[in-house]
Amino acid sequence: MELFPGRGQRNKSHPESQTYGAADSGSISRGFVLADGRAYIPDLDYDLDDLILGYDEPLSFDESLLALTNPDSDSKQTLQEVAEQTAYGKVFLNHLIRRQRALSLSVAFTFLAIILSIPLLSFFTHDFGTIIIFEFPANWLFISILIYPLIWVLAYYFVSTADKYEEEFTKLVE
Amino acid sequence: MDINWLSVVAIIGVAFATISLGLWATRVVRTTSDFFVASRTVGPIMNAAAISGEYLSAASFMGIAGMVMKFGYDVLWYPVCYAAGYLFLLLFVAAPLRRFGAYTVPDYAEGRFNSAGFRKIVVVFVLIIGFFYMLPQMKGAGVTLESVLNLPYWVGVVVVGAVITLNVMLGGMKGITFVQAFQFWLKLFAISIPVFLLLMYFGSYGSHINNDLVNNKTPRFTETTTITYKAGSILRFSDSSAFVPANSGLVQLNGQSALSLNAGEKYVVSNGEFKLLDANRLTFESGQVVPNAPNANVWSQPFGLLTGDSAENHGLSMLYTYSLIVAIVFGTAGLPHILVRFYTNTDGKNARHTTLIVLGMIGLFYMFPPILGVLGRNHAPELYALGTTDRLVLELPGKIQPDWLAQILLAVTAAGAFAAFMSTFSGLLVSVSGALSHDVYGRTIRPKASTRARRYAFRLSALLAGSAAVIAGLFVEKFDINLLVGWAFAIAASSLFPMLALGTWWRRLTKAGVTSGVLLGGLSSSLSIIITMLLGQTDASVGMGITLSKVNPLVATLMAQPAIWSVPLSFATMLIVSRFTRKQIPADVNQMMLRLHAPEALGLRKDYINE
Repeated sequence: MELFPGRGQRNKSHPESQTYGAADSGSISRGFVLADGRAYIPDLDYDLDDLILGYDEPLSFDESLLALTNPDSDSKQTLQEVAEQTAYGKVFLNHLIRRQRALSLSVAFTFLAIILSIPLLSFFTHDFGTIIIFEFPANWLFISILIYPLIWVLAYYFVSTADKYEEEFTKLVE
Repeated sequence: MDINWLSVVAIIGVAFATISLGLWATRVVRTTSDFFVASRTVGPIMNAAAISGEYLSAASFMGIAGMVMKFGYDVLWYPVCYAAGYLFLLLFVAAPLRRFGAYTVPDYAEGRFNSAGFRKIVVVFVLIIGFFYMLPQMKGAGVTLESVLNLPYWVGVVVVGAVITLNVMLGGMKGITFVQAFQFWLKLFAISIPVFLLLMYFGSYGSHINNDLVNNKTPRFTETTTITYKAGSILRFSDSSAFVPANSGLVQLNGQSALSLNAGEKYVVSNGEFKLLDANRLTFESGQVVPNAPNANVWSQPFGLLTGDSAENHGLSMLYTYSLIVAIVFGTAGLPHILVRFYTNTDGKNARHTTLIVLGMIGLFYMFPPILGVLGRNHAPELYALGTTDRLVLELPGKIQPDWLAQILLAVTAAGAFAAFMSTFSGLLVSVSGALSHDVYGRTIRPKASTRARRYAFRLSALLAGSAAVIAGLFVEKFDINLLVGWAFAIAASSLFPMLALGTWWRRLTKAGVTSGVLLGGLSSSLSIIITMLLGQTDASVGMGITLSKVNPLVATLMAQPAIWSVPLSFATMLIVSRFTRKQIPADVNQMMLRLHAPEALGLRKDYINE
């Protein structure tokens, strides 16, 4: 069973994991053993590729994250691990950052796709400027009025989702 | 022209309220932290109103309406992107920036990249952006006092500049948080009430646009109007018109040989371009076509006069439009005087909520100015002929009947305009003086300076920056307010925004990468804007460098609106150089990420600077 499967394939039962790798230090090379015996070494750094395509990790927090065995025994709380930026703690923080970043990028691209298509519509279709809706030419109506509620709705979606992610994260590590 | 004393009272009232609120708040100011970021205790609604109050400048209050009247549809992108910029600020910058817990953008730059040298580079861009942004506020001040009090342009610039500088010197940031919030509500009131009443009087918004779109209506004088023109003035008629010159003089038709005008004779002109070679006073009867009013088709449709010189080349106009969108949307998230306000939130979550409220507030506001622009085309067309569309907001309410209502509304919009440039100029002055005193003096010149010395330095910096803005403000009378503001956005979008976005979300950004990106993007965009300004000076009404557009229209468009290439250039430089300097990634970068992104509820982090 995979601990970090792609989106939508997550298995709900918890793997029994073990620690693996150099036990003596908090080095990056340390990873975790998944229930099926495969090694999982978390990618603790960002790279160019995942700046653009950073969607390959699970996009929600759940108990499966906690199922990673704490490599430094039980003496530390998860919160402390996050604070001290041990390999184990980094996994948690990275998840939060990636999730937030994926959210930000998806909202940004949605908005840019809408706003940047308006000049194209005007350029290639004559109708966009001449169809009259509620007394207004469609292009005026959209750009001078309708776009503002649209921006706000996108922003509202972002804020509520980002708050939710943080609450989940906080609950998980505390 | 008579002076509307009600407007004078309103303006003095706004100035008095602003200064006394500032002075009152000064009593509460005790520590340096109070002074710079209001001790980080401002709640979301108050902070949102203060951010909106600071953001809605002369460009928003006066500039948009005037430019919609002058150029038409394309100008609608300005308010849309001014608002949408906050979406990007929210998505990429707001919460992490607050969590990082520094005072200013240069603090962030130094803290994130462990480099005092990089900080100095960022300070330079903070100063450049602030300075570009101050110019249009000064112009707003000059134009308002000119319109209301019949004072020369320079008097408005000097008087308003002096009053605001003094106020900032006395109050600091805490002083203006309350004042900015108050001024937001004042501005919203001052634009919405006149718009509602004018719509009731003149008829609906949509029907006015339709007038132009369906009936291809050309603006005509609503009353007999006499206009004084300087020698060399150009009059473009989009339809046949007639006028009576007061003096004899020469005129050049469509660039051909000069003809003479005789005083007192009536001249009928067909569409075309007239250049008055001698100063003259022309009288137009009511019903004659207004010179310099754009053709209805060009005005009401995309890719018109704003975005290009040549109405035929829509490809270039689209390029201009896209570049404008990129500049403003990304530039907002890199404006230092706005970003400094995010440090005044209590935590990162509140910073997000504040931004959401700001988006509601300014989104509401931005629906109003274009309405005034549309009404102005139909009901105050003489502003086209006078070349003073920037004054539309101050003139249009005077067209309503009865007269007492017109006087009241004129006073209301004058007060709003005054609040607009006053609040933005104050905010800019705080930001620029903060950069000078906190970054240049407090960190570079004398790091061990006492609190007292720092506060003194802040006041001295405010005085210096305010004086510089006043002096430069005297020279920008010819430029459209939004054009000047747009340039500040383009520079911010190409320098500070990429630094903040990548620095916050990409841990492999290195010092060499960020430095080269900021320098390359920021300097190349500044340079092309300055060249455009200098070349375009002869006819700044058209938003492009005239000399250059004759040589190569594509180059002219790319230089007048550089964001479309300079923003990607800055990002690409950061990514590529960081890739080649991987060894420079600071060892404590994970600690940075923790500080930027960990929710406060965990209680892990402390502010970068405490007291």
